[in-house]
Amino acid sequence: MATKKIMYINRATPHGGITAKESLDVVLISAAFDQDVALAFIDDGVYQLLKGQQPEKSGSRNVAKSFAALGDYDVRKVYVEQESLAERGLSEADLVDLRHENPEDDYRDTASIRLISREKLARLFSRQDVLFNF
Amino acid sequence: MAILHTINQSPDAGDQLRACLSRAMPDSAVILYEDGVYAALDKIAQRPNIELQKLDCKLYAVRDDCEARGLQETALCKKVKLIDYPEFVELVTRYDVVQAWS
Amino acid sequence: MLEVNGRVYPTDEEGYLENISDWSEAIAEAMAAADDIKLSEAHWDILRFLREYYHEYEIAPAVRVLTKAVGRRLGKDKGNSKYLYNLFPDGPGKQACRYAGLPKPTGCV
Repeated sequence: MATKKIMYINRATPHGGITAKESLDVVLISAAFDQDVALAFIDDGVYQLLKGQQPEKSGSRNVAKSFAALGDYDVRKVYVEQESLAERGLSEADLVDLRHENPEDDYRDTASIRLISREKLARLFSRQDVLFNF
Repeated sequence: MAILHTINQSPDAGDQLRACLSRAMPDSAVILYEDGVYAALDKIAQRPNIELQKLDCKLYAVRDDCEARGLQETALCKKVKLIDYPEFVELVTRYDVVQAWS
Repeated sequence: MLEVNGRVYPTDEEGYLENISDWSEAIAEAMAAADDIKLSEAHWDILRFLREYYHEYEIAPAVRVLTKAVGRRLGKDKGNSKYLYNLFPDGPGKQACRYAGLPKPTGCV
């Protein structure tokens, strides 16, 4: 199976429905098949990465907790759109700190989240083989 | 007849909030719960089409739903009073009618 | 369904516990005994590791991820598929997650 560049675009809030959870499951499954996976969080999707979520208070799964395992699944590219954060009064300091071991840098512990402008991210969409929307 | 409005959707996921705010009256109250609490984020509350500061009725948000989503109290609009679910129920009994926007 | 010491625990059609909170060491032993496996300290290391992993990430790791994570946390001599398949011949992801009371790993077919 040839490796494809797959990007998952996340626009849903973390606890409003099951979309965020479904997206994560599909990401983990496709990553287990050695694909080149990237995640993008835009619009309300940036709420998924907020630190300090306590979803047990409303009885749902802590997706932000599971994101911490993405590094184990070799998912190393997590793009967060700057404008979406700014429109919500949020900054990188409000987000969970996702890490991975970078094989291109002697497996050094490296941050996975990359802030990116709306314009650059839109251009990045066009360089993928497949885009999935959640 | 005082009316209690409830909102459970993010302001960017639909137009519940816009529909509600244009109809809220001075003796109304608005409760933000579930994903509705995102509107209480100060930055969102200040948006020109939302402007919760200028709302002349009571405004509440459910604390557990804020905490579940990682929203810090300090990041919320000062106009919003945090309540728990028993207080939510108490408010429901105090108003004549409940408009649960969907 | 699984019966251990006179109590019945709900499972899915592949034998994974429905409620992770039902789990006990006796359940793991009963599941292993049904596969003619006697759990050794080496098995328990992996089962405990899986339960901690699930507690931290709420994910039952697929075999490739399990191997890597075990290698990092328990040492390279354990983080290889030969070692893990010796302990869990039906597949370290699937079988070990089942004994540990976790759901079927995400990414296993």
